[in-house]
Amino acid sequence: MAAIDLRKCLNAISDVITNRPMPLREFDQIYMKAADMLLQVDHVSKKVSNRSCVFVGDGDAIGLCLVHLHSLQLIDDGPSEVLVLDFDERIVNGINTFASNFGISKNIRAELYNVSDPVPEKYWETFNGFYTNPPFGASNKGKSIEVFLRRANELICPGAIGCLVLADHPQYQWTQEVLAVTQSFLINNHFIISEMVPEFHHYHLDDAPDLTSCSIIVKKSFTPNSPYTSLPLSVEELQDFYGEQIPLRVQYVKDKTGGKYPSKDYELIPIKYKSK
Amino acid sequence: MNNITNQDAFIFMKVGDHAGETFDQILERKRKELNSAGKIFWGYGGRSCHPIQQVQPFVQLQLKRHNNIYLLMQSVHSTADPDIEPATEYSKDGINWERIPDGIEVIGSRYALVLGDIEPGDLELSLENFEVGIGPSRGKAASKYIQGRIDKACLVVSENFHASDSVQIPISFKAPLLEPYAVLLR
Repeated sequence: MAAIDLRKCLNAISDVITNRPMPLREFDQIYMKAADMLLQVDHVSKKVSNRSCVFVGDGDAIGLCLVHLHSLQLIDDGPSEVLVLDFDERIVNGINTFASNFGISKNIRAELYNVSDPVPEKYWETFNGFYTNPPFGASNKGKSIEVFLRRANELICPGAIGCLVLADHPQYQWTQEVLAVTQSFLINNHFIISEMVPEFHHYHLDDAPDLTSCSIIVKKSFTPNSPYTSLPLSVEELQDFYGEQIPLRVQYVKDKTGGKYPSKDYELIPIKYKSK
Repeated sequence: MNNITNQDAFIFMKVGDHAGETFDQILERKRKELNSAGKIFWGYGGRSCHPIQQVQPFVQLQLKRHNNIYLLMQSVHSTADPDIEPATEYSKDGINWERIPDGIEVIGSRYALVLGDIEPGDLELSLENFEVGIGPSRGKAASKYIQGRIDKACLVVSENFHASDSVQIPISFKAPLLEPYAVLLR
Protein backbone atom coordinates (compact mmCIF):
# COMPACT_ATOMS: atom_id res chain seq x y z
CA MET A 1 0.00 0.00 0.00
CA ALA A 2 1.31 3.44 -0.87
CA ALA A 3 1.65 5.96 1.92
CA ILE A 4 -1.76 6.78 3.29
CA ASP A 5 -2.98 8.39 6.47
CA LEU A 6 -4.05 5.24 8.28
CA ARG A 7 -6.09 7.00 10.96
CA LYS A 8 -8.00 9.18 8.50
CA CYS A 9 -8.59 6.25 6.17
CA LEU A 10 -9.88 3.94 8.89
CA ASN A 11 -12.07 6.69 10.31
CA ALA A 12 -13.54 7.26 6.84
CA ILE A 13 -14.17 3.52 6.51
CA SER A 14 -15.78 3.69 9.95
CA ASP A 15 -18.16 6.37 8.63
CA VAL A 16 -19.30 3.88 6.02
CA ILE A 17 -19.51 0.91 8.37
CA THR A 18 -21.76 2.69 10.86
CA ASN A 19 -24.06 3.59 7.98
CA ARG A 20 -24.62 -0.03 6.91
CA PRO A 21 -27.71 -2.01 7.92
CA MET A 22 -27.50 -5.19 9.97
CA PRO A 23 -26.48 -8.06 7.70
CA LEU A 24 -29.11 -10.72 7.05
CA ARG A 25 -27.68 -14.21 7.16
CA GLU A 26 -30.76 -15.44 5.25
CA PHE A 27 -29.16 -13.91 2.17
CA ASP A 28 -25.51 -14.65 2.92
CA GLN A 29 -24.94 -11.01 3.85
CA ILE A 30 -21.66 -11.43 5.73
CA TYR A 31 -19.55 -8.34 6.24
CA MET A 32 -15.85 -8.02 5.55
CA LYS A 33 -13.67 -6.88 8.44
CA ALA A 34 -12.70 -3.22 8.55
CA ALA A 35 -8.95 -3.40 7.93
CA ASP A 36 -9.52 -5.72 4.97
CA MET A 37 -12.03 -3.25 3.57
CA LEU A 38 -9.32 -0.60 3.53
CA LEU A 39 -6.83 -2.94 1.88
CA GLN A 40 -9.45 -3.92 -0.70
CA VAL A 41 -10.33 -0.28 -1.41
CA ASP A 42 -6.67 0.61 -1.90
CA HIS A 43 -6.21 -2.42 -4.16
CA VAL A 44 -9.29 -1.82 -6.31
CA SER A 45 -9.02 1.96 -6.52
CA LYS A 46 -6.08 1.76 -8.89
CA LYS A 47 -7.83 -0.74 -11.16
CA VAL A 48 -11.02 1.28 -11.55
CA SER A 49 -9.40 4.69 -11.68
CA ASN A 50 -11.54 7.11 -13.73
CA ARG A 51 -13.85 4.31 -14.78
CA SER A 52 -17.63 4.27 -14.69
CA CYS A 53 -18.36 1.31 -12.43
CA VAL A 54 -21.38 -0.82 -11.68
CA PHE A 55 -21.52 -2.82 -8.47
CA VAL A 56 -23.73 -5.89 -8.79
CA GLY A 57 -24.67 -6.09 -5.11
CA ASP A 58 -22.52 -4.37 -2.51
CA GLY A 59 -23.40 -5.27 1.06
CA ASP A 60 -19.86 -4.50 2.19
CA ALA A 61 -20.19 -0.95 0.80
CA ILE A 62 -16.84 -1.06 -0.98
CA GLY A 63 -18.27 1.26 -3.66
CA LEU A 64 -19.16 3.83 -1.04
CA CYS A 65 -15.70 3.49 0.55
CA LEU A 66 -14.01 4.04 -2.81
CA VAL A 67 -15.94 7.21 -3.53
CA HIS A 68 -15.85 8.51 0.04
CA LEU A 69 -12.09 8.06 0.51
CA HIS A 70 -11.36 9.44 -2.94
CA SER A 71 -13.52 12.50 -2.36
CA LEU A 72 -11.67 13.10 0.91
CA GLN A 73 -8.40 12.80 -1.06
CA LEU A 74 -7.29 9.95 1.19
CA ILE A 75 -6.58 7.76 -1.83
CA ASP A 76 -5.16 8.98 -5.13
CA ASP A 77 -7.37 6.96 -7.46
CA GLY A 78 -11.06 6.30 -7.69
CA PRO A 79 -13.88 5.62 -10.14
CA SER A 80 -15.44 8.49 -12.05
CA GLU A 81 -18.89 7.28 -11.03
CA VAL A 82 -20.45 4.31 -9.25
CA LEU A 83 -23.88 2.74 -9.63
CA VAL A 84 -24.74 0.15 -6.98
CA LEU A 85 -27.52 -2.30 -7.85
CA ASP A 86 -28.81 -4.22 -4.84
CA PHE A 87 -32.03 -6.03 -3.90
CA ASP A 88 -31.86 -4.75 -0.31
CA GLU A 89 -33.58 -1.39 -0.01
CA ARG A 90 -31.84 -0.80 3.32
CA ILE A 91 -28.51 -0.88 1.47
CA VAL A 92 -29.83 1.27 -1.38
CA ASN A 93 -31.25 3.89 0.99
CA GLY A 94 -28.12 3.79 3.13
CA ILE A 95 -25.87 4.54 0.16
CA ASN A 96 -28.06 7.33 -1.22
CA THR A 97 -28.50 8.96 2.20
CA PHE A 98 -24.78 8.77 2.92
CA ALA A 99 -23.96 10.18 -0.51
CA SER A 100 -26.35 13.06 0.05
CA ASN A 101 -24.97 13.80 3.53
CA PHE A 102 -21.37 13.83 2.31
CA GLY A 103 -22.06 15.67 -0.95
CA ILE A 104 -20.98 12.85 -3.23
CA SER A 105 -24.33 12.09 -4.90
CA LYS A 106 -22.88 13.04 -8.28
CA ASN A 107 -20.33 10.27 -7.90
CA ILE A 108 -22.36 7.42 -6.44
CA ARG A 109 -25.97 6.34 -6.42
CA ALA A 110 -27.82 3.11 -5.73
CA GLU A 111 -30.91 1.51 -7.26
CA LEU A 112 -33.08 -1.42 -6.28
CA TYR A 113 -32.45 -4.42 -8.52
CA ASN A 114 -32.60 -8.19 -8.11
CA VAL A 115 -30.31 -10.32 -10.28
CA SER A 116 -33.25 -12.61 -10.99
CA ASP A 117 -34.60 -9.84 -13.24
CA PRO A 118 -33.25 -8.75 -16.62
CA VAL A 119 -30.84 -5.83 -16.29
CA PRO A 120 -32.44 -2.42 -16.99
CA GLU A 121 -32.15 -1.81 -20.74
CA LYS A 122 -30.75 1.69 -20.19
CA TYR A 123 -27.68 0.14 -18.55
CA TRP A 124 -27.01 -2.56 -21.16
CA GLU A 125 -23.25 -2.69 -21.91
CA THR A 126 -22.81 0.80 -20.44
CA PHE A 127 -20.09 0.61 -17.79
CA ASN A 128 -16.36 0.13 -18.20
CA GLY A 129 -15.81 -1.25 -14.71
CA PHE A 130 -17.65 -3.67 -12.44
CA TYR A 131 -17.39 -5.14 -8.98
CA THR A 132 -19.20 -8.07 -7.43
CA ASN A 133 -18.98 -10.05 -4.20
CA PRO A 134 -21.72 -12.64 -4.78
CA PRO A 135 -22.97 -15.41 -2.47
CA PHE A 136 -20.00 -17.74 -2.25
CA GLY A 137 -21.77 -20.78 -3.73
CA ALA A 138 -20.56 -23.24 -1.10
CA SER A 139 -23.02 -25.93 -2.07
CA ASN A 140 -24.23 -24.99 -5.54
CA LYS A 141 -20.95 -25.37 -7.43
CA GLY A 142 -20.64 -21.61 -7.92
CA LYS A 143 -23.99 -21.16 -9.68
CA SER A 144 -24.77 -18.02 -7.66
CA ILE A 145 -21.45 -16.53 -8.76
CA GLU A 146 -22.23 -17.26 -12.41
CA VAL A 147 -25.54 -15.42 -12.11
CA PHE A 148 -23.92 -12.28 -10.71
CA LEU A 149 -21.14 -12.47 -13.30
CA ARG A 150 -23.65 -12.91 -16.10
CA ARG A 151 -25.45 -9.75 -15.00
CA ALA A 152 -22.16 -7.87 -14.71
CA ASN A 153 -21.27 -9.05 -18.21
CA GLU A 154 -24.53 -7.62 -19.51
CA LEU A 155 -23.81 -4.26 -17.92
CA ILE A 156 -20.25 -3.69 -19.13
CA CYS A 157 -18.80 -2.67 -22.42
CA PRO A 158 -15.87 -4.34 -24.24
CA GLY A 159 -12.54 -3.62 -22.56
CA ALA A 160 -14.08 -3.19 -19.12
CA ILE A 161 -12.14 -4.05 -15.96
CA GLY A 162 -13.84 -6.03 -13.20
CA CYS A 163 -13.20 -7.21 -9.67
CA LEU A 164 -14.63 -10.37 -8.11
CA VAL A 165 -14.44 -11.22 -4.43
CA LEU A 166 -14.78 -14.98 -3.97
CA ALA A 167 -14.19 -17.43 -1.13
CA ASP A 168 -10.64 -18.74 -1.13
CA HIS A 169 -9.11 -20.83 1.61
CA PRO A 170 -6.98 -23.96 1.08
CA GLN A 171 -8.57 -25.77 4.02
CA TYR A 172 -12.08 -25.29 2.62
CA GLN A 173 -12.05 -27.64 -0.37
CA TRP A 174 -15.30 -26.24 -1.78
CA THR A 175 -13.70 -22.81 -2.24
CA GLN A 176 -11.07 -24.29 -4.54
CA GLU A 177 -13.69 -26.19 -6.54
CA VAL A 178 -15.83 -23.07 -6.92
CA LEU A 179 -12.79 -20.99 -7.95
CA ALA A 180 -11.93 -23.51 -10.66
CA VAL A 181 -15.49 -23.51 -12.02
CA THR A 182 -15.62 -19.70 -11.94
CA GLN A 183 -12.32 -19.32 -13.76
CA SER A 184 -13.62 -21.61 -16.52
CA PHE A 185 -16.77 -19.52 -16.73
CA LEU A 186 -14.72 -16.33 -17.03
CA ILE A 187 -12.53 -17.70 -19.80
CA ASN A 188 -15.53 -19.08 -21.70
CA ASN A 189 -17.13 -15.63 -21.55
CA HIS A 190 -14.17 -13.75 -23.01
CA PHE A 191 -12.64 -12.49 -19.78
CA ILE A 192 -8.91 -12.44 -19.15
CA ILE A 193 -7.87 -13.02 -15.55
CA SER A 194 -5.16 -10.45 -15.01
CA GLU A 195 -4.56 -10.62 -11.26
CA MET A 196 -5.49 -12.54 -8.14
CA VAL A 197 -4.74 -11.69 -4.53
CA PRO A 198 -5.37 -14.98 -2.68
CA GLU A 199 -6.75 -15.31 0.88
CA PHE A 200 -7.02 -11.55 1.10
CA HIS A 201 -10.06 -10.76 3.28
CA HIS A 202 -11.58 -11.95 6.55
CA TYR A 203 -15.23 -11.84 7.62
CA HIS A 204 -17.54 -11.47 10.58
CA LEU A 205 -18.60 -15.10 10.24
CA ASP A 206 -18.89 -16.90 13.56
CA ASP A 207 -19.22 -20.41 12.18
CA ALA A 208 -16.27 -20.09 9.78
CA PRO A 209 -14.11 -17.33 11.31
CA ASP A 210 -10.98 -18.35 9.43
CA LEU A 211 -12.65 -18.36 6.00
CA THR A 212 -10.97 -15.91 3.63
CA SER A 213 -11.75 -14.54 0.19
CA CYS A 214 -9.61 -13.52 -2.73
CA SER A 215 -9.74 -10.54 -5.05
CA ILE A 216 -9.68 -11.41 -8.76
CA ILE A 217 -9.18 -8.73 -11.39
CA VAL A 218 -10.49 -9.49 -14.88
CA LYS A 219 -10.56 -7.69 -18.18
CA LYS A 220 -13.30 -8.12 -20.76
CA SER A 221 -11.85 -8.70 -24.20
CA PHE A 222 -12.80 -6.37 -27.03
CA THR A 223 -15.81 -8.31 -28.30
CA PRO A 224 -18.34 -6.37 -30.39
CA ASN A 225 -21.32 -4.74 -28.69
CA SER A 226 -24.49 -6.80 -28.89
CA PRO A 227 -28.22 -6.01 -28.91
CA TYR A 228 -30.19 -6.14 -25.65
CA THR A 229 -31.01 -9.73 -24.73
CA SER A 230 -31.17 -9.81 -20.93
CA LEU A 231 -33.60 -12.45 -19.61
CA PRO A 232 -35.04 -13.30 -16.19
CA LEU A 233 -33.56 -16.25 -14.35
CA SER A 234 -35.31 -19.55 -14.96
CA VAL A 235 -37.15 -21.45 -12.21
CA GLU A 236 -34.30 -23.97 -12.21
CA GLU A 237 -31.73 -21.20 -11.67
CA LEU A 238 -33.74 -19.81 -8.75
CA GLN A 239 -34.07 -23.21 -7.08
CA ASP A 240 -30.47 -23.66 -5.88
CA PHE A 241 -29.56 -19.97 -5.88
CA TYR A 242 -27.99 -19.84 -2.40
CA GLY A 243 -27.02 -23.52 -2.36
CA GLU A 244 -28.55 -26.92 -2.91
CA GLN A 245 -32.18 -26.77 -1.78
CA ILE A 246 -31.82 -23.07 -0.83
CA PRO A 247 -33.89 -21.13 -3.39
CA LEU A 248 -34.09 -17.40 -4.00
CA ARG A 249 -37.61 -16.56 -2.82
CA VAL A 250 -37.30 -12.87 -2.10
CA GLN A 251 -37.62 -10.10 -4.69
CA TYR A 252 -36.55 -7.23 -2.45
CA VAL A 253 -35.72 -6.54 1.17
CA LYS A 254 -38.00 -3.62 2.03
CA ASP A 255 -36.62 -0.81 4.21
CA LYS A 256 -39.52 -0.11 6.57
CA THR A 257 -37.82 2.91 8.10
CA GLY A 258 -36.65 4.64 4.95
CA GLY A 259 -33.93 5.90 7.23
CA LYS A 260 -36.42 8.37 8.66
CA TYR A 261 -38.28 6.52 11.38
CA PRO A 262 -37.07 5.10 14.69
CA SER A 263 -35.96 1.50 14.74
CA LYS A 264 -38.48 -1.03 16.01
CA ASP A 265 -35.71 -3.02 17.67
CA TYR A 266 -35.95 -1.20 20.97
CA GLU A 267 -38.43 0.42 23.29
CA LEU A 268 -37.86 3.37 25.61
CA ILE A 269 -38.85 2.79 29.25
CA PRO A 270 -39.56 6.12 31.03
CA ILE A 271 -38.24 6.98 34.49
CA LYS A 272 -40.89 6.53 37.14
CA TYR A 273 -40.62 9.64 39.33
CA LYS A 274 -41.37 9.03 42.97
CA SER A 275 -42.49 11.93 45.18
CA LYS A 276 -40.87 12.11 48.62
CA MET B 1 -24.82 -46.84 26.38
CA ASN B 2 -25.26 -47.45 22.68
CA ASN B 3 -22.78 -46.16 20.18
CA ILE B 4 -24.42 -43.95 17.64
CA THR B 5 -23.12 -45.58 14.49
CA ASN B 6 -26.66 -45.89 13.10
CA GLN B 7 -27.03 -42.09 13.00
CA ASP B 8 -24.87 -40.79 10.19
CA ALA B 9 -26.65 -37.42 9.75
CA PHE B 10 -28.09 -35.34 12.57
CA ILE B 11 -28.15 -31.95 14.24
CA PHE B 12 -25.98 -31.67 17.32
CA MET B 13 -26.61 -29.10 20.02
CA LYS B 14 -25.29 -28.38 23.48
CA VAL B 15 -28.20 -27.61 25.81
CA GLY B 16 -28.63 -26.36 29.34
CA ASP B 17 -30.38 -23.84 31.56
CA HIS B 18 -31.78 -20.89 29.65
CA ALA B 19 -33.65 -17.66 30.32
CA GLY B 20 -34.13 -18.34 34.03
CA GLU B 21 -35.32 -21.93 33.63
CA THR B 22 -33.41 -25.07 34.55
CA PHE B 23 -33.02 -27.61 31.79
CA ASP B 24 -35.44 -29.95 33.58
CA GLN B 25 -38.04 -27.18 33.74
CA ILE B 26 -37.56 -26.51 30.02
CA LEU B 27 -38.00 -30.21 29.23
CA GLU B 28 -41.17 -30.42 31.28
CA ARG B 29 -42.60 -27.33 29.57
CA LYS B 30 -41.65 -28.61 26.14
CA ARG B 31 -43.32 -31.98 26.73
CA LYS B 32 -46.53 -30.14 27.64
CA GLU B 33 -46.16 -28.25 24.34
CA LEU B 34 -46.06 -31.53 22.48
CA ASN B 35 -49.25 -32.67 24.18
CA SER B 36 -51.14 -29.48 23.40
CA ALA B 37 -49.68 -28.45 20.03
CA GLY B 38 -48.42 -31.74 18.58
CA LYS B 39 -44.90 -30.34 18.19
CA ILE B 40 -42.18 -28.59 20.08
CA PHE B 41 -40.44 -25.32 19.18
CA TRP B 42 -36.90 -25.69 20.50
CA GLY B 43 -35.48 -22.17 20.60
CA TYR B 44 -31.89 -21.34 19.79
CA GLY B 45 -29.71 -18.49 18.58
CA GLY B 46 -26.21 -17.81 17.33
CA ARG B 47 -24.81 -17.77 13.82
CA SER B 48 -24.61 -21.50 13.04
CA CYS B 49 -27.61 -23.62 12.00
CA HIS B 50 -29.52 -20.82 10.31
CA PRO B 51 -33.05 -22.19 9.67
CA ILE B 52 -33.26 -21.24 5.98
CA GLN B 53 -29.62 -21.38 4.94
CA GLN B 54 -28.65 -24.55 6.80
CA VAL B 55 -31.19 -26.59 8.79
CA GLN B 56 -34.03 -26.79 6.26
CA PRO B 57 -31.86 -27.70 3.23
CA PHE B 58 -29.74 -30.06 5.33
CA VAL B 59 -32.75 -32.00 6.60
CA GLN B 60 -34.43 -32.06 3.18
CA LEU B 61 -31.29 -33.48 1.57
CA GLN B 62 -30.73 -36.06 4.30
CA LEU B 63 -34.35 -37.20 4.27
CA LYS B 64 -33.68 -38.57 0.78
CA ARG B 65 -31.55 -41.21 2.50
CA HIS B 66 -33.09 -41.46 5.98
CA ASN B 67 -36.56 -41.80 7.45
CA ASN B 68 -35.90 -39.33 10.24
CA ILE B 69 -33.33 -36.75 11.15
CA TYR B 70 -32.73 -36.25 14.86
CA LEU B 71 -31.58 -33.47 17.10
CA LEU B 72 -29.01 -34.96 19.48
CA MET B 73 -28.51 -32.96 22.65
CA GLN B 74 -25.52 -32.87 24.94
CA SER B 75 -26.36 -31.44 28.38
CA VAL B 76 -23.86 -28.85 29.54
CA HIS B 77 -23.75 -26.24 32.27
CA SER B 78 -25.20 -23.04 30.85
CA THR B 79 -25.91 -19.62 32.26
CA ALA B 80 -27.66 -18.18 29.24
CA ASP B 81 -30.21 -15.76 30.65
CA PRO B 82 -31.50 -13.40 27.97
CA ASP B 83 -34.19 -11.01 29.09
CA ILE B 84 -36.39 -11.00 26.01
CA GLU B 85 -40.12 -11.28 25.57
CA PRO B 86 -41.57 -14.54 24.20
CA ALA B 87 -41.80 -14.77 20.41
CA THR B 88 -45.28 -14.17 19.04
CA GLU B 89 -44.77 -15.15 15.39
CA TYR B 90 -42.77 -17.68 13.39
CA SER B 91 -41.87 -18.10 9.74
CA LYS B 92 -40.33 -20.89 7.73
CA ASP B 93 -39.26 -18.60 4.87
CA GLY B 94 -38.89 -15.10 6.34
CA ILE B 95 -41.74 -13.87 4.12
CA ASN B 96 -44.92 -15.37 5.54
CA TRP B 97 -45.35 -15.07 9.31
CA GLU B 98 -47.86 -16.94 11.46
CA ARG B 99 -48.83 -16.72 15.10
CA ILE B 100 -46.99 -19.07 17.40
CA PRO B 101 -49.41 -22.02 17.91
CA ASP B 102 -51.41 -22.11 21.13
CA GLY B 103 -49.60 -24.00 23.84
CA ILE B 104 -46.11 -23.19 22.55
CA GLU B 105 -43.85 -20.66 24.24
CA VAL B 106 -40.37 -19.77 22.99
CA ILE B 107 -38.35 -17.34 25.04
CA GLY B 108 -35.21 -15.44 24.18
CA SER B 109 -34.49 -17.11 20.85
CA ARG B 110 -34.18 -15.95 17.24
CA TYR B 111 -34.81 -19.37 15.76
CA ALA B 112 -36.45 -22.66 16.71
CA LEU B 113 -36.09 -26.27 15.66
CA VAL B 114 -39.44 -28.01 15.22
CA LEU B 115 -39.35 -31.28 17.12
CA GLY B 116 -41.39 -34.30 18.02
CA ASP B 117 -41.10 -36.13 21.34
CA ILE B 118 -37.90 -35.55 23.29
CA GLU B 119 -36.61 -38.88 24.59
CA PRO B 120 -33.66 -39.75 26.81
CA GLY B 121 -30.69 -40.26 24.53
CA ASP B 122 -28.74 -43.12 26.12
CA LEU B 123 -26.20 -42.70 23.35
CA GLU B 124 -22.69 -41.50 22.93
CA LEU B 125 -20.65 -40.28 19.99
CA SER B 126 -17.20 -39.10 19.11
CA LEU B 127 -17.18 -35.78 17.27
CA GLU B 128 -13.98 -36.83 15.53
CA ASN B 129 -16.03 -39.20 13.40
CA PHE B 130 -18.31 -36.49 12.03
CA GLU B 131 -17.99 -33.39 9.91
CA VAL B 132 -20.06 -30.31 9.09
CA GLY B 133 -22.64 -31.22 6.44
CA ILE B 134 -23.68 -27.82 5.06
CA GLY B 135 -22.66 -24.17 4.90
CA PRO B 136 -19.29 -22.49 4.57
CA SER B 137 -17.62 -24.94 6.96
CA ARG B 138 -18.89 -27.99 5.06
CA GLY B 139 -16.36 -30.80 5.42
CA LYS B 140 -14.71 -29.39 8.55
CA ALA B 141 -14.20 -31.91 11.37
CA ALA B 142 -16.95 -31.54 13.97
CA SER B 143 -14.39 -31.78 16.77
CA LYS B 144 -12.69 -28.64 15.42
CA TYR B 145 -15.90 -26.85 14.46
CA ILE B 146 -17.75 -27.17 17.76
CA GLN B 147 -15.56 -24.93 19.85
CA GLY B 148 -15.96 -21.63 21.66
CA ARG B 149 -19.17 -19.91 20.70
CA ILE B 150 -20.15 -22.64 18.24
CA ASP B 151 -22.32 -25.08 20.16
CA LYS B 152 -24.46 -26.61 17.44
CA ALA B 153 -24.04 -28.01 13.94
CA CYS B 154 -25.58 -30.01 11.10
CA LEU B 155 -23.31 -33.06 11.02
CA VAL B 156 -22.73 -36.05 8.77
CA VAL B 157 -20.52 -39.03 9.31
CA SER B 158 -16.98 -38.56 8.08
CA GLU B 159 -15.68 -40.73 5.24
CA ASN B 160 -12.88 -41.64 7.63
CA PHE B 161 -15.32 -42.95 10.22
CA HIS B 162 -13.80 -45.43 12.61
CA ALA B 163 -14.84 -46.68 16.01
CA SER B 164 -12.29 -44.68 17.90
CA ASP B 165 -11.03 -44.64 21.44
CA SER B 166 -11.30 -40.85 21.45
CA VAL B 167 -13.52 -38.88 23.81
CA GLN B 168 -17.10 -40.07 23.70
CA ILE B 169 -19.75 -37.40 24.25
CA PRO B 170 -22.89 -38.53 26.06
CA ILE B 171 -26.10 -37.68 24.25
CA SER B 172 -28.62 -36.99 26.99
CA PHE B 173 -31.68 -36.48 24.83
CA LYS B 174 -32.78 -36.85 21.26
CA ALA B 175 -35.82 -35.74 19.26
CA PRO B 176 -36.92 -36.14 15.63
CA LEU B 177 -37.23 -33.03 13.50
CA LEU B 178 -40.70 -32.34 12.11
CA GLU B 179 -41.66 -30.20 9.13
CA PRO B 180 -40.68 -27.41 8.52
CA TYR B 181 -37.67 -28.48 10.66
CA ALA B 182 -36.57 -24.96 11.65
CA VAL B 183 -38.21 -21.55 11.74
CA LEU B 184 -37.42 -17.88 12.30
CA LEU B 185 -39.01 -16.20 15.32
CA ARG B 186 -40.01 -12.64 16.16
